[in-house]
Amino acid sequence: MTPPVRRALRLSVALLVAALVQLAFADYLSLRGARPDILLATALISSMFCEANGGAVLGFSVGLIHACFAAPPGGFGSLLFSRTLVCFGVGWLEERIYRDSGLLAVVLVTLGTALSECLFFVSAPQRHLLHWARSVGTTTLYNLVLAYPLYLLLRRWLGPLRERDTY
Amino acid sequence: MRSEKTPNVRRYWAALTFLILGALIGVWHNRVTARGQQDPVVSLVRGVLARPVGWLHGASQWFGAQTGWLFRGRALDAENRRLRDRMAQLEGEAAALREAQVNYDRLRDDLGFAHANTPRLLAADITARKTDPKFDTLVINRGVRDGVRVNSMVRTRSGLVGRVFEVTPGTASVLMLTDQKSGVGGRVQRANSRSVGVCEGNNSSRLDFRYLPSEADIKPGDLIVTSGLGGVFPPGQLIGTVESVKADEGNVGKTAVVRPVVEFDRLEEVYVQP
Repeated sequence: MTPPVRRALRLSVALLVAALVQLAFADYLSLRGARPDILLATALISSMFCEANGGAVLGFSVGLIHACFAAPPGGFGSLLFSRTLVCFGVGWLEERIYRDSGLLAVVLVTLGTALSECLFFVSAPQRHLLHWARSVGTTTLYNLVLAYPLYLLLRRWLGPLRERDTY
Repeated sequence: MRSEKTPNVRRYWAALTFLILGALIGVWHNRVTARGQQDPVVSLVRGVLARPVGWLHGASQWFGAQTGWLFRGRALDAENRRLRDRMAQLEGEAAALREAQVNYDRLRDDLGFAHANTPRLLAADITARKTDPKFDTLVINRGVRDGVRVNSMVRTRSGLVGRVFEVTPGTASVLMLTDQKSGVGGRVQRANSRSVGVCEGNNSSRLDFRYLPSEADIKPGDLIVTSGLGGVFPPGQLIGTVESVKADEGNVGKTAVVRPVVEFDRLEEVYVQP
């Protein structure tokens, strides 16, 4: 098995596990009304280990799973669009600006979660702005807390993208 | 300029393809579900994932049931006492209602009205609950194969949960009353007040009972049931209890805050009226 195929398989397994955890347990992981978006956090961190195109594929897959189980009427395409674009952005930045690191993972997951929810809002406006903002804020905070442990797990599972990342 | 752009388009072909594909699938999905039809993409994804998610969800419920007392302890004991008292009170009320039903049926017979058939209810397990923090939706393990269709009513023994908004062969998505896209025609259940309004969700644990006229006779403690207006829900399904009432700006109407009778965070199984 070639390294790219092995990496793709490992990415698929990581996403599948994240999807199962999100779909089966997200409601049980609620803390004072805040719920995590483990699937999105996993996709954002995984996009750091892909390139731009890989990030887009990851984002699309995550958006599709999420939309198939949770999209309200009229929100299906918005979830697909926002996740694909943000994960593509993370992969694109990885190609140009940074290499993977724990601190960056925390920053990217925080900003990526907030940005994808803002993109969702733009394409599918919500009636109660305050409720939406509170929900997005608490999810972003929750994802911020989860980002570093998730990064460590995924880095160990996927390995660095390039040899020179191992310095 | 052209020579700079073309390589980028080629380089990011996957991103462009998936963005366009996402938009197309979204538009197509909205059109298909608006017609009450099944989306094969959703059916495929749920066909693969719904069963393992259902198993995990069931396992976590079982684990919670086995270990919940560890975390709740005294609160559980107090809740048990409260529920025993409540059950005794409800048994009394049920007896009185049975008596009233007998009289009602007898009077209808005397007046020559036809009896309403008791609707068939289908028990369903919850496969996934509130998987996105922003939306109050459920996925249940009943679908088109079981006769469930778009706008089927979903309830528990205590009251209304919501309506089905999307179906696949083996699953259905339910929009809960608390979701901000949910709106249900409601009526005050009191002999001398039959005020009608709309119960709207706002993604919190309470509902807004809006569009009440300024002279509406409504007060805290009143029960709100479905009005049957709108044609989605049958009349008389219990929604919740009024907690507070306030006049709208300019005194053009009233809005009440309603506490649903269904505990949405503790839903384990529901009933669907196909």
